[in-house]
Amino acid sequence: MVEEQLFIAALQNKETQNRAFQQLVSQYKERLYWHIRRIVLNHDDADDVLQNTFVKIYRNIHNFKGESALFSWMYRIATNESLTFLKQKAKMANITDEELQNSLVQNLQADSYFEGEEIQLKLQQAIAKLPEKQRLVFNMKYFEELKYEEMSQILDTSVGALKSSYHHAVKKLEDYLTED
Amino acid sequence: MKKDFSHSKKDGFQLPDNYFEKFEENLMHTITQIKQPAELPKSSGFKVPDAYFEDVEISILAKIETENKAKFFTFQRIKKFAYSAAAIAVTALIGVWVFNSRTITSNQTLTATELETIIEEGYLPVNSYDVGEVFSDEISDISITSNMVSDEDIIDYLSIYDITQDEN
Repeated sequence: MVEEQLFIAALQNKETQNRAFQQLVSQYKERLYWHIRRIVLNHDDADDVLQNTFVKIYRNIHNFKGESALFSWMYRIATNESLTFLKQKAKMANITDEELQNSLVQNLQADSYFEGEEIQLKLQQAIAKLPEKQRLVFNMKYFEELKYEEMSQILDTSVGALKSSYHHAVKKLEDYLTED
Repeated sequence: MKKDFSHSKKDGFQLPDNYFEKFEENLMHTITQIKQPAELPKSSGFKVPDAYFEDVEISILAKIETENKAKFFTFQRIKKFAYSAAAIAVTALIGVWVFNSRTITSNQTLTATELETIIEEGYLPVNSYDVGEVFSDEISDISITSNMVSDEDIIDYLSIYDITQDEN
């Protein structure tokens, strides 16, 4: 905790900011990338959103008051950036959020950066059918293995509600994958 | 005294064989099921281009550097603009202050030249009627001054400049 406070102080100090930020990027780029990638699905989009996320973190680090863990704060920015990106994409294509999700999953079949087998593709199709909150919760719990307490800080939702969302999501996914 | 939690045969409830021995095993299996649902694959199937994470770090830091430079230039521009704006503001303030301090001393202490300067500088929108009202005494003095010109001088002036020519 003290270590994190010192690191935040270094990020907020003009003299040490650049070096500390470099360390921050190095430490969190992969985790944030995979979090974003599971939301936007496409690599190029994930790359754009990841870069924008770090730029936003850099611009706003002075406003970070330490009310939550630095990691939760960055995840929250990454989540918001990803969801905003998807909404803009749907708006530009003049389609609904659900239609966009279906289109993104369909594109995975031809995506050179998706090497999943049929079961993985089917899982993505099933995840795309979940409501937004359940989709986020499932990805964060199942793939990223975050604790409910961490997810609670990131998504500003109670642990109970998150557990409920996760179990609903798992049930729906299992039903979808076994319905054939 | 230690309480005996063992099953009382009086209530008639029965348990499957070895229920408590297997309970922990069953519980762990349920927890694992929740953590890793049986029908769901653990891998998502996504991958990234080779050396992506090295490259993206360079891109992010370059973006930040560009942003810092842009911010510096914008700051310089704003600073330049701010200096000009401040200079204009100070000049205007001094003007207003000078004007106000003069008006406070009342019209009687203002000389005609001072007022003329103020009007010429555009600090006071007045017309000739306003001036006549304020400087009625001075205007009567002017008529006295004109009486100091002798009749001979007037005749000389009229003989040189034939005013009737302008009418033709």
